[in-house]
Amino acid sequence: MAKGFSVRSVEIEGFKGFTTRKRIDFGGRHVFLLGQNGNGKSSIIEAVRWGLFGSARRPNEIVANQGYGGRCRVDIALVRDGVEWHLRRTLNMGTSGGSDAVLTDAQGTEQRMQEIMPQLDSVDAGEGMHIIFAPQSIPLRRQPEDLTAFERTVFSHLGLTHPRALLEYLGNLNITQESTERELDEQLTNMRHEIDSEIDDLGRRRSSIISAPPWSGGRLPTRSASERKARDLIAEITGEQTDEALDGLSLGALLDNAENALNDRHDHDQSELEDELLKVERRKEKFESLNAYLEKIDQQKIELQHIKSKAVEILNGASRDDLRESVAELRRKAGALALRREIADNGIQLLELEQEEQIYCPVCAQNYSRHLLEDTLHNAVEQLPEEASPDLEQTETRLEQADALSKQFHSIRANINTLQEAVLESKKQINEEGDAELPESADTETLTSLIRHYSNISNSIGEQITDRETWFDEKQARLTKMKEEEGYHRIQRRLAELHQSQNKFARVEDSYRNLVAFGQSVRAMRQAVSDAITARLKEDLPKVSNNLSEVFASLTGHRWYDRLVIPNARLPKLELRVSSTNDPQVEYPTGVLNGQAESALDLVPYFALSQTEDAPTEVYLVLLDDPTRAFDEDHTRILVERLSSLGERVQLIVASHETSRFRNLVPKNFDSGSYVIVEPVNWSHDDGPELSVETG
Amino acid sequence: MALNSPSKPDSREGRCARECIDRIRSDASPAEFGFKVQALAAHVLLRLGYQIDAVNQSGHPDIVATWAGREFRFEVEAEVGRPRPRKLTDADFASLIGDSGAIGYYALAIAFPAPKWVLVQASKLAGRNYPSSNMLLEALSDKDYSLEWSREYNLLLCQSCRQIKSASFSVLSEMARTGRGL
Repeated sequence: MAKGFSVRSVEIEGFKGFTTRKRIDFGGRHVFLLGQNGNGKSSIIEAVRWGLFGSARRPNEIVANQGYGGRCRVDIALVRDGVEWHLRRTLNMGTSGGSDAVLTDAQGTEQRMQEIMPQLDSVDAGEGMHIIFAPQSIPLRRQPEDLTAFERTVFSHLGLTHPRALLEYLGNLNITQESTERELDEQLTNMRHEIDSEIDDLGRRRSSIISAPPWSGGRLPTRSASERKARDLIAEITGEQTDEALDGLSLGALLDNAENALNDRHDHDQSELEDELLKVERRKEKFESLNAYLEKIDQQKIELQHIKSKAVEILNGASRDDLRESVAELRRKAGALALRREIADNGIQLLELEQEEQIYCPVCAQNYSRHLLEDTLHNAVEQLPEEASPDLEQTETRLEQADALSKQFHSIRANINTLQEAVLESKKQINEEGDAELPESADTETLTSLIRHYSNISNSIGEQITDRETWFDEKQARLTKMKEEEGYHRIQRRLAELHQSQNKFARVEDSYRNLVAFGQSVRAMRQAVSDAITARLKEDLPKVSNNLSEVFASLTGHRWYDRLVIPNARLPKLELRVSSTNDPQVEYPTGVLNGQAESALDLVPYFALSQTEDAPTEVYLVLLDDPTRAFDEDHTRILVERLSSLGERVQLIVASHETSRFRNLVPKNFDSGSYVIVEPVNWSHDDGPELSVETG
Repeated sequence: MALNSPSKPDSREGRCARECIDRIRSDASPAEFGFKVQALAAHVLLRLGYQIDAVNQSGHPDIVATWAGREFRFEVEAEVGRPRPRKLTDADFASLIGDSGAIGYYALAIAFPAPKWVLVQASKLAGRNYPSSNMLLEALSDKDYSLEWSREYNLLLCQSCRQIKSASFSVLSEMARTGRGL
């Protein structure tokens, strides 16, 4: 038996199908767990593995019995040189899946795993040729690392586990380093470009300011000098000495103050003057308006006088009534004359209608000669004047003119009255608004004088406004230049900050270069390790392949595929392929094998490579879970025979559902008393599996 | 050869080199500018004592030169705008890392804030399957060699700007190939 630890017993609680604490005593012998699937055989193998290594078959696998209220723990009693040790593992509370293991010696004193079992402590559950798990369910098979179980076994056998782990570690380190490198690369490049671009842009702007400086004199101003100038400007604007409130203010803040003060001053001064100007202008307008009324009244009076003179001339000593009467008389006379003419004309027309020479007059009761009548009528017409009297027309014209003048006269009188009312109203308003009362007798001359006076005041205010505008423009121009000057200082300050950033960035660049150099070193180390492993594999793999082939041939008895080879092409990645001594040049993937041969393939590395003298870990134990999948009776026999010779050096814990085959083969191949057969006979929800243990 | 520090952007030399490169760039399309910079790389090599064997307008590598009996191959790229990540193509690698024993370099001409070169041995870029930005290229670069190139490049730009600006790629390349410097 091996010189390492062997498992004396295992106590399981709350693990997988187990509930209350159950102890299974192996007595350091080989263990054959037999029975139908689902009875808890695998739980026992899993419990031993979890107890030793703390990891389940699959990552994130839940090992605790979910229906059990107690803790999940496994206590493995280990024995070496007759001394018993206990390795107790307890699942942590919570969902992390982590566990704590405590190793105690025969006196119950806690010992450090790293000291007593350094190899076991450092080995992962899936690693090492001495531990083989044949998973029952292929779809659930999942390797915890990128290596296959076969590769792990070979590397372990050749003592390359740590170099291979180092290779993997360096590979992962490279991935992490490259990821960080990539993340930083573009980011830092852009960051530096931003800094360089801003410096470039600010440099141009600074040059532009310096080429046409807003300050006088050739020397570049200091910030304090510019601040002093800003304070002076504020003092000039406010007309007062700068107060303490401005102490400690930045140049920008001082210029904001100056701008506010200037705007305030401008608004205040200008509005005052403009108000005054408006007032004067309005007063002047009143006077002008009043004056206009008075002038209009004078004009109307003159017009009135003119009308009067004209009327006297037209009436010529008469009145308008006299004229009206004359017109009436003349019209009457003209009417009578017209009647007479009409009568005569009608008489002539009547006579022209008569044929008789003698015409009887019924009024006179006598006859008259027609010719005589005609002559008489013609004479009468001829004696009448041709037109109406010219006196009538003249008189009518005079009357019309007199009437029109009268109308005009009354209209002008009304206007004058209206204007006089307006004058009174205007004077009233002026007296109400003005400081001094306007004399009642104020005439246009007085008003003209007053208007001139106010015009002078208005002009004076206008000049004051212009003066203030000029003053404001000058201050505004200085303020604008000061702002440019402040811009220059801002650029200077920002440039100083950016140069500081550049210096800091240089340190970041150094760190980044170190990161890249580190990556290059890791890359080189990885390459060196890979080369070394490859060289070693190239040297040792032929022998390994021969061993594998020998076991494979004996386990499978395959008539054609009787060789296993590991090609050099993908080293240090190991790929197991099958071949034939009949045609050694051709290599095939293992997928060409039948089910039994493929199942046997899982066991081959262990049998082939476990011929070493030293135990790879302190616990020299083989765990086989259902190793005879797809095996026929003959191959199962071969396997048990192999296990028998293997059992001379290691402790075996083998689970199989092939109860009758194993019950038949085990006694034939193993010494009596060297093994126990454990058979789950029952299972209950509350108590878990009920086990029968019999010593062989 | 004693190495000087590279021209700072605000140094006289840095300014005049930058002005020159800005002028060249403003007068040329990005492709023309790239070719001109490639020809200038040949002239830099000439000033560093190399013999120019070939300056290829198409195909790989861009420049083949000999120094002390050893062949050097260069893939040249010129940064035109903002820095952007770059990746050597398989054809680039094949021409730089062959079985000829030649030493292959990836040469990147940067124009901003001051003209400079970044020379990276192609073997250092092998296995990097992602584009690399300037920061990584500079970190992987051969510092001394890059400094030598940058120094000669700046001098070249300052001393012969007008000639560089007026000459075509083929003229500049032929001059370099026949050992006639600017």
